[in-house]
Amino acid sequence: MGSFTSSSTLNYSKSPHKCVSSDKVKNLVLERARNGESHAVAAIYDEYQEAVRAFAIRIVGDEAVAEDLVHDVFIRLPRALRGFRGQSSLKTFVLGITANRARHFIRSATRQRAAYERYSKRECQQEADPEQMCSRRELAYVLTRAMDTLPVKQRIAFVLVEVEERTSSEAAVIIGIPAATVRSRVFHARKKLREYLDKEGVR
Amino acid sequence: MSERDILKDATRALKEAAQVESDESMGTRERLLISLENKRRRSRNLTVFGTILVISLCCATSWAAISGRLPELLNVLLSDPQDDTPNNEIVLTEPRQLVTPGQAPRLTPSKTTQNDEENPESEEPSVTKIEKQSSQPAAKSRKQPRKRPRKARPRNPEPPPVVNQPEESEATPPQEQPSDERSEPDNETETTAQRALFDRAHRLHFKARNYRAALPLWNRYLAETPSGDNHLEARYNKAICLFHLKRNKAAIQAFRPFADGAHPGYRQREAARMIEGLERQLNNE
Repeated sequence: MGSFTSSSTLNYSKSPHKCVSSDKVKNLVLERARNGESHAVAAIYDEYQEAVRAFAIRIVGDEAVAEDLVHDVFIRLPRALRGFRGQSSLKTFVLGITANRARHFIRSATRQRAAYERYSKRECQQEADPEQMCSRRELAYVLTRAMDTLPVKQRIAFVLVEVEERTSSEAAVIIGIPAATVRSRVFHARKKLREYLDKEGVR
Repeated sequence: MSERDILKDATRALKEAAQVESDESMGTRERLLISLENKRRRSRNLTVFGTILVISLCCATSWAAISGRLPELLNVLLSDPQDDTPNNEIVLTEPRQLVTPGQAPRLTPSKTTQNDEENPESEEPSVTKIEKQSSQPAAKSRKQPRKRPRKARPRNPEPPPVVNQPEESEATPPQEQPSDERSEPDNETETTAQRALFDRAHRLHFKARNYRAALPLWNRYLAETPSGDNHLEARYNKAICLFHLKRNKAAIQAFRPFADGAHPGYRQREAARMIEGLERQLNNE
């Protein structure tokens, strides 16, 4: 866990050695964040916003919606921290909140993508030339569209394990389910995604 | 490329796409701080408002308790003036507030004479009105009795033989005036059980109109408290029950003391007309 000194707005640590009072700093920040102090929450945001944002973008597949998800996660953090017992790292805990809240934003992003494709020429282009993937971004987009067909639980498991390359155990801690369940969901997700890519003619 | 490779390639592409630094991070941070402040402010306002509300309630309750108005306040809050169910004791106890023997002499004969022209058929309605009126709160009885004779007539198609029965308004004055005295809970002449007995009889008589069931209760009440606060009303109601049960001779006997002025002024004229009508009926039979 970070020291909250490098990028936080409040300098909690008074020692020149960052690790000396890191536990105290951590507890202090957590306590203040639990009370809803905005600067404490902002300190946690500064520490983990990159990881949360990356996960959010991979999950929902839309940057704007991902920003909303990130905002939602940290807004809910003070209340959620009341249930934090320190059994996992704070980063894992925050990612778990992200995974839980993601379902509400996935639907929104999926609808937006569907609406966009209805009124854009993207689909026509792909039908015209399905074998040419112009960029990796395009490939990522196709995969995001493919993930729209997955149930949310499988999607989250797939992103954690396959996209973010975490172990099943790590993903299990984040989501709060057994590792075997994670593996099962990932397996089914892969199968469905392969079928989708095959149907779309993506080679 | 195998399908699996494409999938792997796509996942890697998705991972890379999300790793691009977002320009929105600072904007989201600011948005987050503003949202947290707003949330905190809302929570604070709610706490303040809730505290003020609780303090106001405590002060009001304390004031009511100190000034002795707490029972009245609770009664007002718990009672439903429009509730006609027999279980509404508050409504039922109020009629007793309307009639007090001590106030009976205030009956003005002039009001009774106004109703000399009444149709015999109005006896039933007027009795009904009187009964109903006594079950209404004092405030309502001040206003409604004069209207009820007109309204109640169509609802009472029975053709009682008694002629020129007094309007319910005749009963109004005594019912109106003693309300204050009635409302006082202090009653050394009646126990709680006797009061409950009166309430039950009243309920059966005026709400359920079960005169057959009400009569024995009136008798029992009068046996237990022959000179209680409500004994006059109980005696008169007993007479009404006998009338409704078509026990004309017994009804005449029950009305007689009232008509003869044994209870000065208390429904004297009404009782006289009831007796007149009953005797006429008996003669016709």
